[in-house]
Amino acid sequence: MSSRKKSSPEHPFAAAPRTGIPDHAFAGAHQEQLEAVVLKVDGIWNQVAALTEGRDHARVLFTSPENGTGTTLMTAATAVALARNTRSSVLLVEAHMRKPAAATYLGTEGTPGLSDLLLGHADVESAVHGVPGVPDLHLLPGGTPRPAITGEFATPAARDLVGELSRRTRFTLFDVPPLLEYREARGLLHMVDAAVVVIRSRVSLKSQTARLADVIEGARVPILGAVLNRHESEFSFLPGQRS
Amino acid sequence: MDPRAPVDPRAPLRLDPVDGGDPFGPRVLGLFGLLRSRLLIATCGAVGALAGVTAGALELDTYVARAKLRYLPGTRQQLTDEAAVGLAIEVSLRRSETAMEEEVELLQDPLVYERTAEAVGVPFVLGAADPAERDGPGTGLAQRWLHRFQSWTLGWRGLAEPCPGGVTPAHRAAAVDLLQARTLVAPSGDTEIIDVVVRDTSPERAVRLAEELVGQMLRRHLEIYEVESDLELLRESKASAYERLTRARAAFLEYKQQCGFFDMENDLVANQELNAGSEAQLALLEQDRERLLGVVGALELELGLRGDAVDASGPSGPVNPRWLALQVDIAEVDEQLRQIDAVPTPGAFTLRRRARLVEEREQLVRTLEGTERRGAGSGLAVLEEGANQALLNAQSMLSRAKGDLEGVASQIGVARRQLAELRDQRRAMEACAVEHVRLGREVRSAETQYTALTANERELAGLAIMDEEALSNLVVFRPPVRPRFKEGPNRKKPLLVGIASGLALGLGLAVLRQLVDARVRHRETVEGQLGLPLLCAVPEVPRRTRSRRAHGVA
Repeated sequence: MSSRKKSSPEHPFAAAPRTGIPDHAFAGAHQEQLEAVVLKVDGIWNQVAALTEGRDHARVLFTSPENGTGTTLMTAATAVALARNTRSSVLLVEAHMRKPAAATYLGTEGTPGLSDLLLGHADVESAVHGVPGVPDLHLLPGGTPRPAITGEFATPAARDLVGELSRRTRFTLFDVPPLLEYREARGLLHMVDAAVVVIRSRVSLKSQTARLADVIEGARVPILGAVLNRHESEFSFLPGQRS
Repeated sequence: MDPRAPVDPRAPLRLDPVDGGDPFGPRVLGLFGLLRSRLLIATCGAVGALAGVTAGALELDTYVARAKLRYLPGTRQQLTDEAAVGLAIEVSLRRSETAMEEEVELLQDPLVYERTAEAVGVPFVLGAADPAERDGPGTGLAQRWLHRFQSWTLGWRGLAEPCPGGVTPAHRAAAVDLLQARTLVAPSGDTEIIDVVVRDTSPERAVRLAEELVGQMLRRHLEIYEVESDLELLRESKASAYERLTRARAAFLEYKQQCGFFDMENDLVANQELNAGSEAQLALLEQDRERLLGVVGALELELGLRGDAVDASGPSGPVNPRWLALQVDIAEVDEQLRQIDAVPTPGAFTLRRRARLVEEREQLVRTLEGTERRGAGSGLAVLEEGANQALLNAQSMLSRAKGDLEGVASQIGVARRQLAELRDQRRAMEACAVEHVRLGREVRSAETQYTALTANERELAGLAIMDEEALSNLVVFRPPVRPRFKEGPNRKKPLLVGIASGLALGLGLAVLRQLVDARVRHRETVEGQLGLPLLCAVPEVPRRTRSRRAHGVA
């Protein structure tokens, strides 16, 4: 893979010149962590990429049974891997407006973002940020941290916004807070084509995970699969064994 | 399995069978549990090993002193049933084939251990030797440390001073139990040898206990088989019992002579029977007397022999002889009825006779009511003649009745005297009864004692006859030898047991922990129980503080 110099953020959705796989310009602990995880999410982005067979774009929602499972990290890693490997435009929408963190992982500005967009304090062009080092990837961060307003994702305006954003990209990934705890985010279920459940090994409860799956399937959204995060095999202490 | 079915977080993990078999069966469940809790299992095993080592260390060294006794059965054990019949002795013979077993059982009599404990001292038995005192220049360091540890534990285990407040019955009982547990007495194969094995915590203690134990066993054996002295004592007792019996009998006889009652019980019964008979007879006689008094009084009244009598030939005229005859007839019928009623005799004849007499009396009474009592007018001569005859009859009856009355009175007097004599006799017997009964019991007690002693004497005499021919003998074949090396304990066993127990506990906890786990841990859980396809399993990637990392080329 050839390296690529770090460039300044470009206008969102502007086609970036493809000069090969860039050197990673991700700096900081978050970016390094993200880079390491990108190498592990082949199973996710492959499934997401397969969704576009017969369609122009695909919208996938990432959620988890509880906080702290690494949903943002998984979503960001999947977005990066998808952008790099498919050379298609990918938009990562961070719907977690209480505790936005995607910008930190991707090295972009955190504001303005979705929260500002929904309140009308910003426009799409200013809210969507290009991700340095990944030309095909754009981020709509959470924006100014605030609690979500009940039903704001179910309004026609939100639906129109999502539709417009989706049309501009081939893949739209939604980083959604835990649907069991934050019921207002369930409005996004009606705007996506599939869902991915992120489970944290040894933390997530079986019952909570099953309930989350019930909620997603209750909204008639197919579940692509689950990601088992922070998984350590019982055999990992043996030499040569991996999870 | 419906993946959307409600999930019980405590339920064991289940998967639908897939090609190639169930990938998450109990085997894998156990394997995952073991791997996940390997530290726990190892810790439990280590703790168990430590406990085993400690338990092994607490066991003091064991030294064994051995002795051998030789048992020679005597005539008692060799006598056959046929020969015993001819001896006419009442003994429970011991057969040779069971003699050894019975001898071994005898040597294990608790009395032997009690005497041994008393001889060596109860604190000695309950205590233990201090292992540290035997350490010398040749003792290894590990051994020294072990002995120091054991010596330190003697205090709180109560082995240094087992009887701090003095020897109590509980201590004695404990000493006996401990001796029995440490001692083994068994025949050596089919030989005449009996092995005696004694264990203790030092060679000196073991050999001392063994020597004392062997001595007490020999003593016990002699007690059982020593018959002559017992026989002499028994004969002395028997002689004393005979003297006592003789004295009791003499005293009893003398008292009987003094009282005059040689058979108090039977005499008392006879007295009661006679007394009852006399009283009944007296009652009958008194009834008879009352009747005769009535008859005499009536006759005297009619004959004018009494103050209120009417002159038979007075102004009112003479007594109608017919009336007087009817009175006499009625009195005779009454007498016959009284005799029938006095001695009830079942039967139709008696009943008919009585009925006839009752009817006859009623007829006489009716006739009497219709008869004038005094005669008057013509026919006076006939009346006078009849009156004279009636008077004669009445006088005759009166004299007869008076005679009967005197006879009855005399009988009454005799009966009363007899009754008085019986009562006097009874009082005399009651006065003597207490002492009579006491002396009788004394005689019976002496007889019982003498009889029992006589039977025992016969038995012992039989045994003595057999012992004269060949006495059962127990000798020391080899005295107790001071052990040179210790023979225990086996400290590997508690260690192995500790390790095994610890590992088993750890395994159980591991499986339990796995079964009750409510969280998602394994890929199989995601796919099997939750029914979600697993896209990938991402390991934990720690967040580092490096500034830049090159992206490696695949």
